[in-house]
Amino acid sequence: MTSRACRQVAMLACDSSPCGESGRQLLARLAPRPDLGSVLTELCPHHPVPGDIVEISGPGGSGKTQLLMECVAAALSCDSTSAVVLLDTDRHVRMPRLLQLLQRHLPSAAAARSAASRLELLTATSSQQARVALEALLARLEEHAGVLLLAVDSLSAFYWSDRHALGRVGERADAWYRQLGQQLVRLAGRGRLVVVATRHSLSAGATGWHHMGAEWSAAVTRSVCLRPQQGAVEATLRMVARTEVAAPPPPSLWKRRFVITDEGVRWLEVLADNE
Amino acid sequence: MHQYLKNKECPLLSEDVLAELKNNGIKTVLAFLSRDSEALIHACSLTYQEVVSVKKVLFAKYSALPCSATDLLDQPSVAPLASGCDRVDGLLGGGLPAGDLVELCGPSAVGKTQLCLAWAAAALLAGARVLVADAKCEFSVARCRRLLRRRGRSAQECDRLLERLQYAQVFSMQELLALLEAVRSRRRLHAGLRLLVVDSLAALAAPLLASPGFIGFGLLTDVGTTLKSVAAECRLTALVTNDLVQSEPGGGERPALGLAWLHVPHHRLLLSRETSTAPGPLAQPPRAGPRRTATLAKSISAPCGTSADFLVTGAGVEEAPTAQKRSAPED
Repeated sequence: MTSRACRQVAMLACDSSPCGESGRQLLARLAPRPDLGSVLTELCPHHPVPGDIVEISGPGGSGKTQLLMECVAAALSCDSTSAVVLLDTDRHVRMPRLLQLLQRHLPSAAAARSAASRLELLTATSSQQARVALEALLARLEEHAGVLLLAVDSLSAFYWSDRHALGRVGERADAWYRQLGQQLVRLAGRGRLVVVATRHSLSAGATGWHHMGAEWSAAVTRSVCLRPQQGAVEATLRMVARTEVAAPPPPSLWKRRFVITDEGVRWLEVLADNE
Repeated sequence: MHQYLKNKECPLLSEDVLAELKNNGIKTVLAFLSRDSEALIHACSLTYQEVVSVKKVLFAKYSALPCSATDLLDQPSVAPLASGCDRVDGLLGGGLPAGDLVELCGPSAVGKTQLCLAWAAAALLAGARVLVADAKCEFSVARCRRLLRRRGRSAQECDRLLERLQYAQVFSMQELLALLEAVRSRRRLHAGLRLLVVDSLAALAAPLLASPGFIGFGLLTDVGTTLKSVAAECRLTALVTNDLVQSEPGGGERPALGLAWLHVPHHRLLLSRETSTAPGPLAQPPRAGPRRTATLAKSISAPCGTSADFLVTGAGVEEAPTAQKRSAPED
């Protein structure tokens, strides 16, 4: 067998599209997206738009995953065709709970189940697996533009394992997570979807350091910080509105408390709103 | 962590192609996948279609496993594992939930191992298998046998049930990881495994946490990830015990093993024990020891802050009498 024939045998069935995108792909990418924000109004007063990145951070047990599942349920409910991808590294997401949240938005159990069928769950057991999954998603999004929301739970599940594997030099771990942040930013921008990601507090106290780095912090348009307090959870939202003006406006602050019930997140009073 | 490109990944990645990619700084699977296909054809002698084919092979091999939500919803449910103490089981919604990692946290001699024994006996009585990774040599199989006998099983039945209990002594985090990987990779051999006990994780991990290079935190994260993967894939409960430490001088207590571990378990029960040994007003069985309390400090599915009192007796773990059940006053 000639070497050319060997290479042909070794090739899998592949897409024979040339460089660039087809007219169908272009139309799919530029098509108007469903309005995600109308059902996320409780989370933030100005709803996220495609391209936005929402980060939910807080200590263990503060409700980050519950809040993320509310976002997933809202995204699956707002339209009958949009898809949601959930990258699960923490294994705290439970499908029966998601179905329960969907039934709150939708008129019947059958509708909730139909909405759940549009959720693709990617379970990663390592940092590399998660990042390869994000690259695969980026490659698919360029062909199929139906994903409305990418939920990541969480960004910090493998941090200490990565830190140990990458050696004592912190810069290599910093670079790894900087690249992860860049992947998510590319997905939000090129995929025209909303990214909602949870992040554990890895350092004690309000040091301001986190492992995703300054570049990621600058890319996040809505930052929700959770703090358990007196039987409820205090959520502080900092929001940077997208604008074409070179100098971005100062971030706005919004504080609200919530409790987690059997029916889902129940929002309590607004504590501060300086918009 | 960094998977390097090798010829065995795909026949198209010949030694020449790998050398060309290496010369252009592309050595790992992730580096290859993150480059545009157009850029890769300039970095090596592969054609565009060959690059796309290699990418598909690498995605299939190294990406996260995709799953449909409805497939998970259609999985048959596994009943929670009850210890026999309804109040403690009620904190977790009826017992130890399958697929979850549960942590028992408390000071020494508060009853963590006794609770593990009670759940292990319950699992054996239900016809399931149990795997115990014992780091402190405190998990008494003899005590487990006595619990089975107290449930009305004959000596021969107890011996038959105990054949389904696999006991392993582990003395390092690496040994524990190897044991967990063996369970994960040889699931057929461990069919019917319902409970995996690690007693205690603090004993294994604490000596490493001060080591340089974050080896302790790294191994702890690996163990947590593997425990949750094994629990989910094998539909069992992973039950670990942990100590309590002082959070700061004059401050309260918190679970040991630091912030790296705090967010890992799905459920956390904090155990405490009353310090007074004087007989109180509530009737208690003789030789029951002090009253103990389990408080649900963290849960992904149940309301936190609820607590239940229990006693450790010869029959295992029993409910402690409530305030209504008072002993009759002596005349």
